[in-house]
Amino acid sequence: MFRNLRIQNKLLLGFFSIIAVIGVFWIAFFYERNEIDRASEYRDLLNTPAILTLQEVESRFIVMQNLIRDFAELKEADIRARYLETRTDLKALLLAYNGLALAVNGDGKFLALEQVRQNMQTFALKMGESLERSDVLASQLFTLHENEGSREDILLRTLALRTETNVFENILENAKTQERTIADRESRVIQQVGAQTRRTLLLLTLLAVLIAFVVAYFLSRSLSRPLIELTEAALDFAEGNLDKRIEVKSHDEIGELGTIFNQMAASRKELEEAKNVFLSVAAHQLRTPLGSMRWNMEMLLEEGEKLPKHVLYGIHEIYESNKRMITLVNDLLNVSRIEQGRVMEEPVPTDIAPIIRDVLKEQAVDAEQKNVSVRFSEQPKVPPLVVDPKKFREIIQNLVSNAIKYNRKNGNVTISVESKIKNQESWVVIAVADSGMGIPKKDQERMFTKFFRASNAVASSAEGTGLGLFVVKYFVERWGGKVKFTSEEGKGTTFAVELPVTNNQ
Amino acid sequence: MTNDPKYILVAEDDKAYANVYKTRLAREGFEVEVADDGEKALRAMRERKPDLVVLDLVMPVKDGFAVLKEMKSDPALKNVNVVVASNLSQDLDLKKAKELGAIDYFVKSDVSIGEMIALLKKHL
Repeated sequence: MFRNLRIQNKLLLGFFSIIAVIGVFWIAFFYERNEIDRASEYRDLLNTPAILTLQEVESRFIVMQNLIRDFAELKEADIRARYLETRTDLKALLLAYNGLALAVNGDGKFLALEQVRQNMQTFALKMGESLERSDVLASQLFTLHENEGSREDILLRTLALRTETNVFENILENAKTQERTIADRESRVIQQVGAQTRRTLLLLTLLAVLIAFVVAYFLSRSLSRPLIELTEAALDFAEGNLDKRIEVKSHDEIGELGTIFNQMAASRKELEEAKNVFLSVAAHQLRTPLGSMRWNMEMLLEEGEKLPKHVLYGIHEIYESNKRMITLVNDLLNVSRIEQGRVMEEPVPTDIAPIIRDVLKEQAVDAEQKNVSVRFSEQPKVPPLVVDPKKFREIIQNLVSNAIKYNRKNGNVTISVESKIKNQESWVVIAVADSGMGIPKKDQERMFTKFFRASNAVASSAEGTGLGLFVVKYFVERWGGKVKFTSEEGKGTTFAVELPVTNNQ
Repeated sequence: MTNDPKYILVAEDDKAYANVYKTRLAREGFEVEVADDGEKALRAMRERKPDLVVLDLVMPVKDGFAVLKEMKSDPALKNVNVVVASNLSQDLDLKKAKELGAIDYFVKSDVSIGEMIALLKKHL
């Protein structure tokens, strides 16, 4: 689903999804704060002071009621004073109550505010009016008391005054009811909004986590899956499967990498094929002049006694170099044939001892030059092996020439052939042991890799291509055998070729 | 067996090799003739039937394979032994030569003169 995005955009997408989640949290948070703030502001600025004021009004009103009850019996002057005092307090409180309503600016925040404000003003007005009426009645009463008015008149006005206090009490009750209702509603709003916001937040959290998970899953999948495929393909390719290609699915950098890998793989394969063709043509073209040089040199050497010593020596040197070059060309040819899968050989039952003796005779000159003594320990009655005689000869040549080449001066080489029974099968073991420089531990694993030469062999002046053992291993394994070696640096190396004896011939 | 020297016909276009064949085989007591292309080789062996033919594979005018085919279809030459001497690296080519009737083969650069002579003597 993110296939067509560049990696940079994939990462941006991930970043933005996190930003979006954070944004949702902030919005939810502010929404909750707003709702609760509105309710609390209204409560703090209007409702709570209004309730307190009404409580004050009520307490003064009760005082006034008690005073009025006493009017009928008592005529003391201090009652009049106390009435006037209470009445003044009440008027001030009502004024304050009215003022509260005007003071709060709740426009746009609390829709019902206008209604509440109107109600408060009405209540204040009506209570004020009732108080005015009480005042008139009270002052009439006071005058009647002073002038010793008729008892009937006093009773009548006292009754009227009581009725008036009832009117006031009713209005006060109404006002209190309104404030109580509002207080209830506000605390409900605060509670509800709180609970609702907590629920919303929880839901949003879950949603955000889910979104983050989904986005992260697809992003990481779209990033890691092609990378894993690419890695596997590269490993496969490195192991020699040159036909390995990648199916490019995405258009991001990894997809481009896949395309590049495919191009690289294709050109690598072409290169490999071109290399093999080149090797085999070049080697072939080299063989004709090298062979002609060899034969002509041999003719010259046959006339050796007629030549001055230093000339003969020179010809000998050229002859040896020529032989080394032929060996090198043959090794290269062998490798390219092996790699093209075009090896042709004819394994036939072969008596191996004469071949080994022949090779030793051929290399006797090299051994003599280095003062290396070569010994052949031959077990009698070694059964014939089913191998290609020419290739077998090359293998022995390789092993023996290595044993001489990498030996010390005055060293020795022992070639032994013996048959043995392993797992009820008959095997022949050809071992070539030398007393040479040995193979360093770190190089031992790679000895059969083509073109690889042990570090101390490279450091010595001895020439070599690093192809010999590769060819040896290839053919020995082709004939169902195994090559092993044991080596100790500075002491020597023993190569052992184990080949099966097939009895059906 | 007669006491006449054996007659070896060599088909070889490379002068250096031709020189070695001529010199060394003559020294071994053989009669040697060298033809430097396939056509000339066939003409020579029709003039005088050789005891052994040493045949290079890569030659001008007519290559070794064509010579072998013609020899095998010619009743007079059918039974003449042919040893293929080549520098062709492909084992496949040598195998093909054997299938066409060559009795043996060697790679020139891989054998010494002595080995070459020993090999030819085996088939005389």
